[in-house]
Amino acid sequence: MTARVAVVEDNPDNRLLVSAILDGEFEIVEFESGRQAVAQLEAAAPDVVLLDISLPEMDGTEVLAWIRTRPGLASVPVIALTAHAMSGDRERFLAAGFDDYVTKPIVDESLLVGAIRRWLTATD
Amino acid sequence: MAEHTVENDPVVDPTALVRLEALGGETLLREMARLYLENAELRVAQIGRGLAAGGELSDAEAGAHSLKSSAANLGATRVARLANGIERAVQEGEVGVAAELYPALVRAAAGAAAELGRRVNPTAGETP
Repeated sequence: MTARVAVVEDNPDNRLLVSAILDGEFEIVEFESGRQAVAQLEAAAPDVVLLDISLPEMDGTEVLAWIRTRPGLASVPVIALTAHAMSGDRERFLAAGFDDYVTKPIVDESLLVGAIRRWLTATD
Repeated sequence: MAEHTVENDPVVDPTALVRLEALGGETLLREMARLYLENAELRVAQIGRGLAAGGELSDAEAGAHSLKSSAANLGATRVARLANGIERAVQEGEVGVAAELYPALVRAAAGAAAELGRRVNPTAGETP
């Protein structure tokens, strides 16, 4: 069965690039904002969530906090997708409860695909 | 070692375009360029509003943050570096530094737009 990956990202070009990278191996469900994700993520029932940190109105950290309160989603791996790349960011995002962290721009596609595969295997 | 300045960065790095093409063909490249051009115009304007007198600095920061990853996707390295510089400067409270970088960002964005426009022009992209 094809695993379903939710992509929560406000930049349309980043959404398109992520979809192009994941296309063929995963089923992709896209969300343009944190609010849209909160409204529709439970129905989408993803196996992994790729969550941008810098979203307008409701940022990735708030969406993550919400995900962890939902019985159907709480144990789904959530990978932070972010253009923050300052030292200590990785530790900060993992401490905030993200399972993993991938930086933008996505220079090496295999890092993103590898992270998703790893978490799908971990939760099998 | 020679000092690195943004003027040494490519306006558009062709390897980024080759990579997009390898990933999804000319269709992906053109669509990515179209989305980038739309977004860049909005974000450059947003940064300008944010840095103007009476503007919201958080606007400038958010605009620069969005622009830097979009620009990097398309190989607009100079735009990405300047956007990153503006984002950092605003975060560090160096609004004057951010305002000094802004005109260079506007020029770099215009240069990248012109070059990407040429590259993804429908009549120029056909294979012989």
